[in-house]
Amino acid sequence: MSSLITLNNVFKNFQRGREQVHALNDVNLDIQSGEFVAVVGPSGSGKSTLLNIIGAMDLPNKGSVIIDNQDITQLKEKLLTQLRANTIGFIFQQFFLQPTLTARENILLPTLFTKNKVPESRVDELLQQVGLLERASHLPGELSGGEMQRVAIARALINKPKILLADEPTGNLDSKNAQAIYSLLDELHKEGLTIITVTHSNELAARAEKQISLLDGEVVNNQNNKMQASA
Amino acid sequence: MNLFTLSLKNLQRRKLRTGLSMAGVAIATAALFSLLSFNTGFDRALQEEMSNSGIHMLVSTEGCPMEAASLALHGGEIPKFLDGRRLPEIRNVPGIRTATGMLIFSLIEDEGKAIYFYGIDDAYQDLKPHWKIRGEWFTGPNSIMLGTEAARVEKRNVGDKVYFPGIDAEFTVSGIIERTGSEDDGFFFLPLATAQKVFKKEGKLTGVGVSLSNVEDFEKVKGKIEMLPDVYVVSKDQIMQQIMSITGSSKTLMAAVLIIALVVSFLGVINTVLMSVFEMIREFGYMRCIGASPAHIFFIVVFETLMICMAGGIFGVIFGMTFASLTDQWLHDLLPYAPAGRFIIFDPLIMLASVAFATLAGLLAGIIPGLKAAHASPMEAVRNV
Repeated sequence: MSSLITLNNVFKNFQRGREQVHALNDVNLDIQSGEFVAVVGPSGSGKSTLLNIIGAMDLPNKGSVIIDNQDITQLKEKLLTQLRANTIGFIFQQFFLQPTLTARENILLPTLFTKNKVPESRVDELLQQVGLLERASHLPGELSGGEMQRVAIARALINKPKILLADEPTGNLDSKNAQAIYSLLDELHKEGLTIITVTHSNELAARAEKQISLLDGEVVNNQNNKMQASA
Repeated sequence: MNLFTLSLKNLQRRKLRTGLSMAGVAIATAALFSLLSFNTGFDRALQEEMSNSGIHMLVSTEGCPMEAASLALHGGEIPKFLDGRRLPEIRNVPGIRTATGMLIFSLIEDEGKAIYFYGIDDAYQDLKPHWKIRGEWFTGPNSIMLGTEAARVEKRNVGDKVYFPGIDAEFTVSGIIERTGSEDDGFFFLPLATAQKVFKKEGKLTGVGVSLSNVEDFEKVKGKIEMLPDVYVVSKDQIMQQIMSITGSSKTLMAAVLIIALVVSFLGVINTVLMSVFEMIREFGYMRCIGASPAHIFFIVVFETLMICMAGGIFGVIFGMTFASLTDQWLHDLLPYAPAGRFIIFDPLIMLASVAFATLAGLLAGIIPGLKAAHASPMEAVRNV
């Protein structure tokens, strides 16, 4: 496996009123292609900030972030947009489905912003994969929470990204629907997709092959679950 | 699916708000369409009416040209009278094709409605070659001719008798003038001598309508008539200019109200779209995450605004056309010296200009919300979770 994401001495500070918040403090990470990584830690530990930086949504104050061989701190906005469109897929706790678009149209949404030609068969394939082929023409209002998140996952995959970033993907779901999402993420991981998820769910974290624990903006634990299990 | 359909579907999310904004634009556009149509239609109607009057100049007693304008168009009553002896003198001026004496009087009926009597002599027929008379011209001193509208209101036909208690006189309808589309439709025409007698103005005239053999001789003829005592000559063009300057202030006032309506509607659209942008800022942030550029987001918002305004513009023109007759009636009642005929005309150029204006306003109204949305950072998607 080769390095897909590398963070070197990354610092990220925020100004919250008069207070300076050190969201990330000298973070160093190396994530290999095809890894399934769970980022865990208490609220305010810097998990989401880390995910935002890995997703090229935000830039660090200091340090370098190499994603798919590109240092995002050196990229202009246009190239960052292209990187997000083609290399990274995003899933959030809020599904961000367009309420007036059908499941199929929502899945196609990212293609409106790229020059990628995506055949209809690709959408069918994704709908099949997330188990919603029969619900393709339904509006989000007609879908359950779990179904909406599965549409969001299919949408994140439409441009065949190398990385799938998930911010609390099961945070709004009941346990049954959460199980369906866990299984789906497992399946995608087995297909070779690199998945990084921020989660408070112990079950999801346990399914990942690597856990990165953050506390007060610092990586306090970066361990391989399988190794830990075998130990 | 493309960005256009995405924008259109976004509009469906806020049907009531979109509908209200569209209605605001439609009302403003209807007002714009009506004003533009009115400006063209009023001048055209005035021109037509002046042409139909057949008069090149009007001779009255010395006085205000506004009174002359009123006389020419409305049959308005003027309290000053021209000496009837001027009529043959004017007829003797070289270059005059026809000179016809007129005496105009109004009578207030019991219901408070004014009816206008127009005392005319036979020469008046030369000024109205387009008149089609059902029945015939005056058959005697006690005959009367009615305009179409006057006949309809009085429910009289050819051969009927009509009695006016205000002057205690009865006349026999000799003819009804078929619809002309001018003020003539509402007049009661009497033989000049009869009118002078009934209204106790023997030997008096309200004015003399003059038609020239050659319009190029206007100044020469005018100069000669003005040499006669106590006469005031006003040309057709002067009357038109006078009326236009009188209505000019009304037009300016209407234009000012319209500008306010347009600005309010414009700000309303900006406010509506801006509110939507604030509500959707996280969605725009998410779109930025999945590859939308600021230009994509700007386009989505501006296109939505454009659609609201373009649809509002089209509905506005339809609305303006649907209620054109009501607007016409209102303007006729509102404006002094309004000529007969329709003001609101269906000019495709005006329709197109009105819709184009609304569309352009939409384009401009979309800029501020569009820029606001385009600046949405991908971070908006995860903010305040």
